[in-house]
Amino acid sequence: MTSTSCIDAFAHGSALLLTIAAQPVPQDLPDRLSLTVNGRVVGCEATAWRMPSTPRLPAALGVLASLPEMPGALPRRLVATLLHEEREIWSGQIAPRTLVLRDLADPGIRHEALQGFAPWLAAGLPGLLDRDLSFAPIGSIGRMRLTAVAAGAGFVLEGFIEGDATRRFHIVSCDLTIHLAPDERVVHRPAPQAIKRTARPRSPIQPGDWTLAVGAGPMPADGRFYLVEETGPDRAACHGPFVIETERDESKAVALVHEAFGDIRSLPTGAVDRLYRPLLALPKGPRHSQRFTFGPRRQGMANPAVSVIVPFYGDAFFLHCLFHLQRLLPPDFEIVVVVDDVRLRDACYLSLSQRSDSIAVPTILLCNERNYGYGPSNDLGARAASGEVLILMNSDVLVLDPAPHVEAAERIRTHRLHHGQELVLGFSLLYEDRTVQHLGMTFARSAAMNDLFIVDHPLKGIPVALCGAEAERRVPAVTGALMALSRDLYGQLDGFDDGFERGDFEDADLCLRARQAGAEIRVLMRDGLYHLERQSIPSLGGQHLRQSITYLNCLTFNARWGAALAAGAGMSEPEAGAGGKVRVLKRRRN
Amino acid sequence: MRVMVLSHGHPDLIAGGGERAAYAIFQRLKRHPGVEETLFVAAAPAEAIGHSAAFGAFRSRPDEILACPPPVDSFTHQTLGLDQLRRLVDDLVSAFKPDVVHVHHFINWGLDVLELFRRAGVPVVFTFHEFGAICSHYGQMLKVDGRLCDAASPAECSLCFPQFAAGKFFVRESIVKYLLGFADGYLSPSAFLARRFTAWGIPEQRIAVVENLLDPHTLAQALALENAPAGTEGSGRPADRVVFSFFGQITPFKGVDLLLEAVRLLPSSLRSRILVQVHGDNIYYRETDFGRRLRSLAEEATDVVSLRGAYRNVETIALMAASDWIIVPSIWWENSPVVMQEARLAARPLICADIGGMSEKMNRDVDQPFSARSAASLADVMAAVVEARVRPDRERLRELARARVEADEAHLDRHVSVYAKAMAGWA
Repeated sequence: MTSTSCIDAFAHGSALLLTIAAQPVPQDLPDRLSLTVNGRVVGCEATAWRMPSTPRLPAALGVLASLPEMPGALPRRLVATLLHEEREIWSGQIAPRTLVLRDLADPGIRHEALQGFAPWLAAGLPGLLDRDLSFAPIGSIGRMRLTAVAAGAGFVLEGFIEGDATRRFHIVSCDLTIHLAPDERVVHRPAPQAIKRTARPRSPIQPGDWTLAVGAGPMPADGRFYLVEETGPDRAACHGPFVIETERDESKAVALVHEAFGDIRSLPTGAVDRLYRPLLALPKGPRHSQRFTFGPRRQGMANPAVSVIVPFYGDAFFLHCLFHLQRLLPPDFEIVVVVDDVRLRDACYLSLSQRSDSIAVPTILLCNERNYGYGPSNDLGARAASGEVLILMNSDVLVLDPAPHVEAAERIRTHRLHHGQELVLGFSLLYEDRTVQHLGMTFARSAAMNDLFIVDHPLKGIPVALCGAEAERRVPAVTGALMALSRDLYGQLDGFDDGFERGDFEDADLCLRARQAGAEIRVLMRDGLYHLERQSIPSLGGQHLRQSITYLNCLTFNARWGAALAAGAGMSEPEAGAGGKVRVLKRRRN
Repeated sequence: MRVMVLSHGHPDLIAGGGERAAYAIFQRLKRHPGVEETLFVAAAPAEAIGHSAAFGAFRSRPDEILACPPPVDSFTHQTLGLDQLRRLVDDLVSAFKPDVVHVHHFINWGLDVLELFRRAGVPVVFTFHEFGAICSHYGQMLKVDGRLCDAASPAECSLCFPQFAAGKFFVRESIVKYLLGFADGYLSPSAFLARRFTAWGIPEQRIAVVENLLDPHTLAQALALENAPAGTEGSGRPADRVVFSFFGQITPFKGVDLLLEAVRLLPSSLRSRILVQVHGDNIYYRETDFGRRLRSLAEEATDVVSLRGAYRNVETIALMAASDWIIVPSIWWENSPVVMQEARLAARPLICADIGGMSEKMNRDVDQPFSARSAASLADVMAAVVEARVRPDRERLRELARARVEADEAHLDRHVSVYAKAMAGWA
């Protein structure tokens, strides 16, 4: 060992427990150590083991020594030396804290328990430093039930601990990655059903014993926790270990938070980030997808002129729209399908492979390892694409006429060539009853969203036949449901911003950044393009989830653009396009 | 010309009107002077083929092919194995080299066959046998709660099938229309059906209304009856009772329960003057609520009603000749029910619901309409027929029977001219 220091020491009866930080941790652990305390050798029963690595303590050894000849109470200050075969490993002063292990009479079990507690003890938890610790099995607490609901990148912990109202309990995971202090947990009145379900006839659970907390980060894999109670200014009692079961259910997690803390819109930004964001965000990190190709091979041919990128999530039915697109597009296009849903992987792969010989448009299939969200999926698709122009397309867009795709790509190409300017082109999109789903997007404040700017789709639901005859118009933004832009511009903007969670507002953000970079945004009014959105009946629980995601992204969007939009200057409203006035016969907010 | 007839099943393996109609055309084309060769290709499960090749021959007949296409998506009617289906179609085309293919249904095949034959260079003629392209409820244009339906739209169809959102019905409609568009021409056995498809979007001038052809053995029975000495047909019938008969599958859509309800509503004085015979069966519906209700209605009325059970197609005309009136009480629109053609050939008058193809195919000078789906109206018509002793002129009925036999030849010629038109348009 090159450098060692004693981090912590505990005395338990006649046993001494030390944790030693060692840089580096030796490969061979010394199996016979001797310890001298205050000059006296205390025997060769010291054993060492490598402790599980934790964020706070990446490399450490535990050392357990028994001190058979010491008097009853250990002195508060000791000088100890650790020796391995006469060679001194470490020497120093220690002030061991008292360790009490209740109901652990058997020395063998005690030894096991100490080994399990040791990393814990060594880490020294905030608020619990310099305290004497006692350990007891979890039964010593009384009635307790805690469950966790995992969602997004975090979780919600919910349940009751008898006595929580009057005692100060910290909930700490055995691997020390989770620490929920009492002040971070809300105590709230339970719903009547909850009381009936869990309370037994003798003393009822007090309303203050119920608890709910939001954690950022994943639950530990083994689910093992301690309750650490502050029993005095210099004492703490650890009860456990016990297991908290985790289920993954995003709607349920959001509903729990909604009930305990209130609607996301009623909370200040800091509370939103602490309570809602961990549940709504997807874990960030490296992104991987498996790649397959279908249809004609491109070997020897020029790169495709246009790449259509289609992220897929949730509903395999819309593969029919993809197959239809493959029927209609000319062969100098390619399609990049990004399956962002592991449940759909097999269906997508199998259905494409059984028609691969009949496809006339080269098709790349990317299967994401996990759900990464709309923005990151488009980024992955763009990276795999080789066309000069990208057309981003939602899976629930049905193209009955490919001419607008062809036209838009040509416009973008020639505009760059002749004017050195980038164009971002959107399209008129219809519902199945030929009413408007999208004719360009504008921005307006919404009272329902705390007066923040939201994206507006003017004329939504109005028959397209009533909406004016111009061929195109300039607009502040267009929907990512069908959007054409050059691959260079997409790269220059670094794609979608993954600060937007799951999907919403990131297309508006992309458009505003594109404008900042000098691009012009237009919407082409063409027939034959349908966006069959909002087609599934939202589940009861799912409503809070969807609304919360929208609000979260709305906050992010407004943090960046709120001031600029408030200043106006042509940011919010469309302008008349080439070829005539904007004849709007009826305005309707969605 | 070389004609390929594509059917969704072989009538000797699966009984059904569409299969019979397709097979009837095949049999008659074989004897048509303008047709050099004709081939019948039926979709069949692999077990019916017997061995493991993609094709087989039905009873070793070289002109009756059984094929096992890959499975089909039941909602959009597209194949789930496009590459495999393409190879199947290409093999059929290269083996037989048809000048035209007459497709009778996309069930079991997938709508993609129309595109695949076209791309293989073969013009396509398609017959509509019911509203399967328009309606997801068994192709009948009946709402799921039983009401008649007049028009499809994505939102309305979603009301019948809430598990499919309106947008999905729009996708279905768009793709079905696109693939149907690969046909060079369409046939419809009734003007009613043709009008519904035109309202839905098939151009009127591309649909020819041509009656289905009769089976050769049905025709043979009709001729035998015609040649029987006058007065001998239908011997064995009770002289004092009017015999009303139902022929067909005993399913809820055919309205047999409506008929038995009508019997219940008849004035008791009439009951001794009537016999109601129900010919037919259906294994699937026997043990459902419908089947049980039917049996209990029949048990209440054993003085009038007798359930005769299943009958063979070869007996139909003779059985009909032993009746006075043939009742067709279907609760859906119907297209061109074979039973009406058979009644015409048996020289018997009809009592039919006054909607859809039934209404169209009635001869108003001999047949009696009743208000569709109303047991009371049917009871009124039956009572009126008995009390007023309505008996359509026998000569007129025989004249109509002869005319129907002769018309069949004209129907065949019209089919052939539609084929020729498709081939010309293709060139």
